[in-house]
Amino acid sequence: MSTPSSIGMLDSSELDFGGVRDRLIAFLQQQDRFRDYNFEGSNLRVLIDLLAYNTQMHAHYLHMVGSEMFLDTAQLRESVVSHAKELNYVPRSVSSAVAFVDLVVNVPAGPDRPETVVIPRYFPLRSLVGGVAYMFTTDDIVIVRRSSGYRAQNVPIYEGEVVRDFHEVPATGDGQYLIGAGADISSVRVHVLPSSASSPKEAVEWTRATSVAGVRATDRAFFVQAASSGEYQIVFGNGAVGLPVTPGNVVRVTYRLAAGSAANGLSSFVPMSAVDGFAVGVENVDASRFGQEPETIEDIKFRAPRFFATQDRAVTSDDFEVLLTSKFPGLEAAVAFGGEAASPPAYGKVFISAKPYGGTVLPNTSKRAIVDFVKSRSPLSIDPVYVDPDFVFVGVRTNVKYDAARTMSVTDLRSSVQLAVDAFGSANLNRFKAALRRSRLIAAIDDSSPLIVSNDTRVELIKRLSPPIRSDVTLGASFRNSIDVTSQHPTVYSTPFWYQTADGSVLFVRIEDDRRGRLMIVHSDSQGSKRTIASNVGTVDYAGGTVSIGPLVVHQYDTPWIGLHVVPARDDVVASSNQVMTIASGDVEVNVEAVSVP
Amino acid sequence: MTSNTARPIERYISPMIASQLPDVYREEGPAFVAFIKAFYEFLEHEMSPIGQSRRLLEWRDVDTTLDQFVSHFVAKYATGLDAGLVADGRQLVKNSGSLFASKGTAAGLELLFRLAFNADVSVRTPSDNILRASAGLWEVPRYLEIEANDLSPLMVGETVVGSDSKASAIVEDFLRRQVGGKIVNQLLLSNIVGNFVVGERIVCAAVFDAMSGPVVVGPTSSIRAVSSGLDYAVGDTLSGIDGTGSGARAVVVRVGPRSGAVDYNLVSGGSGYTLDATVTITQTGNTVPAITEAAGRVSRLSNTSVILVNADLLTAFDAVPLNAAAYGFAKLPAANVNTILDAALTTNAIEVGTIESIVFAPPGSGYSGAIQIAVVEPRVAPFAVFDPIDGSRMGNNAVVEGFAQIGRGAIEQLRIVDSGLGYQHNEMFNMVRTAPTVRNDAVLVQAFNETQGFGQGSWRRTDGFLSSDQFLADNHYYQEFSYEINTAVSMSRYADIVRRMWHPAGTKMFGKAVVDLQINADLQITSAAASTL
Repeated sequence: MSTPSSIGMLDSSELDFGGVRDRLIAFLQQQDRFRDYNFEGSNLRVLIDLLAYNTQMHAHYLHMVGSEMFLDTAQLRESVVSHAKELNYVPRSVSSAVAFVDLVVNVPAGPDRPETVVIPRYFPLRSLVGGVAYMFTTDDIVIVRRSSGYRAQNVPIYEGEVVRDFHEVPATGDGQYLIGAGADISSVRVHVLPSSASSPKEAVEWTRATSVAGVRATDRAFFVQAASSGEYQIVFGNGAVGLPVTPGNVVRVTYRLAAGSAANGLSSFVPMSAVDGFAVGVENVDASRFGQEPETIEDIKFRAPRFFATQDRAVTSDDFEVLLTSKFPGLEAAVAFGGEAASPPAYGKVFISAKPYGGTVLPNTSKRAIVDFVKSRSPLSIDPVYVDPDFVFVGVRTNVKYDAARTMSVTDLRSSVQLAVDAFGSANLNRFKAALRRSRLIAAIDDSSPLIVSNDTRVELIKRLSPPIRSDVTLGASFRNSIDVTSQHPTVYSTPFWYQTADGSVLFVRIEDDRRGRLMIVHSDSQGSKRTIASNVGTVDYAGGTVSIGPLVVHQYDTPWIGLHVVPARDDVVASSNQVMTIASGDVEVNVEAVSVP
Repeated sequence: MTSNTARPIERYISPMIASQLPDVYREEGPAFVAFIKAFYEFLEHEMSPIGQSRRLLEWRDVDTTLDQFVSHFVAKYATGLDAGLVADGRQLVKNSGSLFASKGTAAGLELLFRLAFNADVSVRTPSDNILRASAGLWEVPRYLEIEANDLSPLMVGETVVGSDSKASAIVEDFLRRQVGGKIVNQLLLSNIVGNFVVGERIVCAAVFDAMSGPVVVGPTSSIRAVSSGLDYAVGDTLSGIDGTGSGARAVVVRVGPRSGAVDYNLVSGGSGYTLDATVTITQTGNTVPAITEAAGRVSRLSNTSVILVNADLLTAFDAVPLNAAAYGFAKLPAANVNTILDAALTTNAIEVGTIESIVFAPPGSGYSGAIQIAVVEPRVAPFAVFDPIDGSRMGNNAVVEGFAQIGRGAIEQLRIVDSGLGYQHNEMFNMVRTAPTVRNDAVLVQAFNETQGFGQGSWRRTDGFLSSDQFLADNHYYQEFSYEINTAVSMSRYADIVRRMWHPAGTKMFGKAVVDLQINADLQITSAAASTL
């Protein structure tokens, strides 16, 4: 409510035209000269409306400017990128998908076969999918040797059209060296030629620096920073930190224009040219992955302040995670935990784990790159260790009751529930430190169809074990969530497998616990009667959530793995350390039951 | 061309409206002018869009921005710190860079506790107290003694070079120490390359002009046993007991036998002796076929006093007639019967006293049985002055019983283990055995100040000491990657914040509560107490 002194005063938050106009009139009417004016009169009304519109426009403009002033409220990418620049953060560009292939040069037999054949950098290959062609290239020179059958194994090929830009350094020396939107900035290579008359052989390669730390005045280094409209800009040194380019130099910038995630999953590649007259073949294709879109505005707003908080140093666990996801665009998630949290403790170590987009395990080269990267940013005495993610599958068994009076096929209902569970898993799991809240899963199932009246849903945690057959094995599984010990039924059990008894007969058995911490092998006959075959084949730590099996000889199993199921003690289960919980479609069991709703 | 001088943004334009409009408006349409002015006043109000847009630059500054905008600065520059950590968001934003940059350091933890709890904190690393086998570090101080110079303290931290030896070292400290009645200037050195030599100058370009540095005068760098008794053993430790310096210590590194060396018992030290008294050694009794003669001299006096003695004894002028034209005195050769005595005769002030010890160097060999040792002070004895106490003749009244020394364990070589301070080059002084047992008879030694000396040494740390303040590693508290936070704040309050903001991954955190004592120092003195005082 307006106080007498504030009558007619406009609040900048007022964006309604009518409100603005009323306040303008009220303000004028406070002044003696205009007190008796008829502001509803047609001429004055037109003037008042005009000024009110003008005022409203100012207020709107102020709101927009104010919004763009801060990182967390900015809406425009240019503003967000500018704020990120102040935080020394370079937003991630589009990333090329990478596939790993064997390149085989077909050199005909004969006495003059060369010792080596050199496949040049940017050797082109093409993949055609759905009428869309994607260009892939090698990123480095590949040397194939006769001794290896002219085969180069596991060669990375990157998606994207290779573009080469030339910029002449102007007389002022401060040229703008922009890289177009769509460039994968990790592919940028810069060469500097003395002048436009220089031959390509005179080009000197400069290296990219991601931090001014360690860059000397004489280093040929360049920096990449974000510019407007999704572009990036190359910045050279100033003579104090890195060498500057000099007027007349020609800057040659080579980079890939990538298609991002659209080029993931490609596995058919055709070389676009021969090498030294020899045809090139592609074999053993590891399908393309890690293609990624540019960082979104929301991601930049989330990561830039956190990157600033790291100061480019890996000290706390959060620092490790932020640096990894900022540096390696192919990582969907990363986690780090100190050795003090490991069991048993491993002081002085930091365990790092990462999940790539669309995959589960990183190639060894990426693991090494990750360790090398964080090692250069962590305290000297700390030893970073990479560990693969520990996948724990979530089994969902839901009994859904639906309104029998409403028409929908049971199959459709099951599909709806299945889709809802899958969506729940995608949204809430599949990452480190995720928590599965059973109540929310139940709600998601309820919401999957208006026909559903209620559901009774149970979850189990599953580890997939692939023991060698017919040999003594000892297996361990850590669920890091306590296991129910109150049930009358087994809370630890396996999927069936074949087991050879002492008398030589082979039975279809499974492992079960006795709720007292011991595991046994049981066999169910055709009538469903259970018989214990072996009574002590392992132990269960219910509180710690660990299961130890063995020594045990598995005779055979018909499935790709033996599933080890546990019933968690609590409704909510949490992934800790390097655990990733995920819901596989095959682990979801949906039962439906029609009920009459009064 | 634009000017670089920024003009302040005019906050209020409305007062200028009238002057900005053409005259015709002011003359013909004052209502219009007033209307426009009123509209601008409306826009320029503090809460209005124009009024606020003119303050945008203020809002860009965390110190002058609106209170409701501070959270935006926190979200950008201090993310992770905003969970109720600090009440003053502006302060937090301005310090966040320092806090982030100092993660994992003691300084960073102090800043975090200051910002979050306004509390003091210290960090202890248990790894400092882990017992490490053979981890002791024996540190021997090395030093030079130099002449006094007011600029000497400025050499601390500088590299110095010997002018002649070209030896170099870093000066760790400069100390002025009082030794006896004199001041000794000591330079503690490290990183010594080569050997400095006594007598050269210390060159330190950062402090002194070229070649005007102080001269090296010591300390004692080696020592020689002049004479000793028997039954010493290698490893015996000797300590200096007199001389002009203090603190010298040496160990016996070689002993040898004595076969007929001169030794003595001082029955009476007499009086009126100087250190230049004549010691005469005569083999008595048995005739010994082959004697290597010893030489003796007085090495120490007590109860000293200074007396004046005439150096021109009449016996030297027995044949000079009284009426000779010139007597030939040393002081005035032309002196004769007409000259006054004070002008003619030489008078010396000499320090005399009671003999405390006699040195036989060399000690000789081949002596046997009793040996006669006569000690006469030639500048006092001829005057036949009698000691007022016992009536004996001063300068010739010492009673010394000599005998041949035969046995093992005479000290032949010493190694200095502590140069001490303040000894003069070539100075002789006495040392006594202090280990393994104390022995009262003195060993006469001679000091040589030749190069830098060294102190006794000490263990720098106790890492390798059993039953000390060191503990066995337990892979829990006592391990290389643990730290302990000592603060008055409850661990339950800070553990999560520290883990999130500061804790180096891979290390283990412990907390220890310390009592934050605040002593009220107000004194209340009652009148009764005051009167008692």
